[in-house]
Amino acid sequence: MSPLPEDDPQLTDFLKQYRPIAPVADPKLEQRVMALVEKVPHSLATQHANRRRFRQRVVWLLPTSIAAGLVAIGGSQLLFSPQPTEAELAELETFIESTWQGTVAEQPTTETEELYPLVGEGAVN
Amino acid sequence: MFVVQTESDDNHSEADDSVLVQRSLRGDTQSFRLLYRRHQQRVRAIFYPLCDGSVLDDLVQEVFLRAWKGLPKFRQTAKFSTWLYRIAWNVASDQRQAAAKGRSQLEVLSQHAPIQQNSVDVMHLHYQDLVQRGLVQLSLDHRTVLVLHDLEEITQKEIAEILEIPIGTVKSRLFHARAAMRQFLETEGVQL
Repeated sequence: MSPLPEDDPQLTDFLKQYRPIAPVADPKLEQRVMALVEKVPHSLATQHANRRRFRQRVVWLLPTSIAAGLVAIGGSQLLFSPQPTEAELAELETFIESTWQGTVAEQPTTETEELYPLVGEGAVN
Repeated sequence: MFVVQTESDDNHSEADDSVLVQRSLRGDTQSFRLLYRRHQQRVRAIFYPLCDGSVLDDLVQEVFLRAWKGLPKFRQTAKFSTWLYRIAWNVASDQRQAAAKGRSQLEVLSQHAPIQQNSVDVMHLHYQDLVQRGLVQLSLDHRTVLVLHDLEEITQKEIAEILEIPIGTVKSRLFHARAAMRQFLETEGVQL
């Protein structure tokens, strides 16, 4: 297969000489384009500003969110830890009282007295 | 009138373009205005044979607005003009799809022909009309390559980048576009 011919100077010259010429632009076109451009903040300038704002926010947000997280965890523990019912409290109180009384009341001091109280008494008498 | 840029002019222009692009990226709209002034005429010249001339201003406006919005995505290593023409091609394709629902391209372009009838001689007008009609009878793909390469003198490599097609396809389209154009002109009695 033969390669395609690179140039056709006669045709190209003719086309250039008689090419369709675009009508002149509206004199206000440049103003129109620039007005639209001004309205659309694009670009790196905006992106840089956004990034800077984002970084500043992160600087403040990071410690704030850590503190808020800790508070939330503490709060939730307080909030969601199981609370004893009235009945349980009453039972607990009774238990503590009886246990306390047991410890304060006179108790056998030796193993012998505990096991054979009468033997102890008789021996005394 | 179309001005042919030399290679050194083009390099100089690209160097300046990158500075203006940098400034525009920092939000300097005046730099973008300079980019507009530098490139709008060529964007216009590319559009005219491809699109409905009555919406030319709107299309140029759309190209530069898209360019401004898309500037942060523009790779600094690429040529600004190539990137801009790529946007122009996208806008032209969108416009063509929209126009396909309305009037035919041929009707629109033939309506525009009489507007150019100023004080130029009749033969010149006749040939201008022939070129215009010849371009219209080409497919959009062939016409685009012919306009970019033969009229705007954009290299085949750059056209491949603009249209995102292989360079072999550019060569092939150019060959077929020229053949069809030559045939059309010969049928109309033009001897090249």
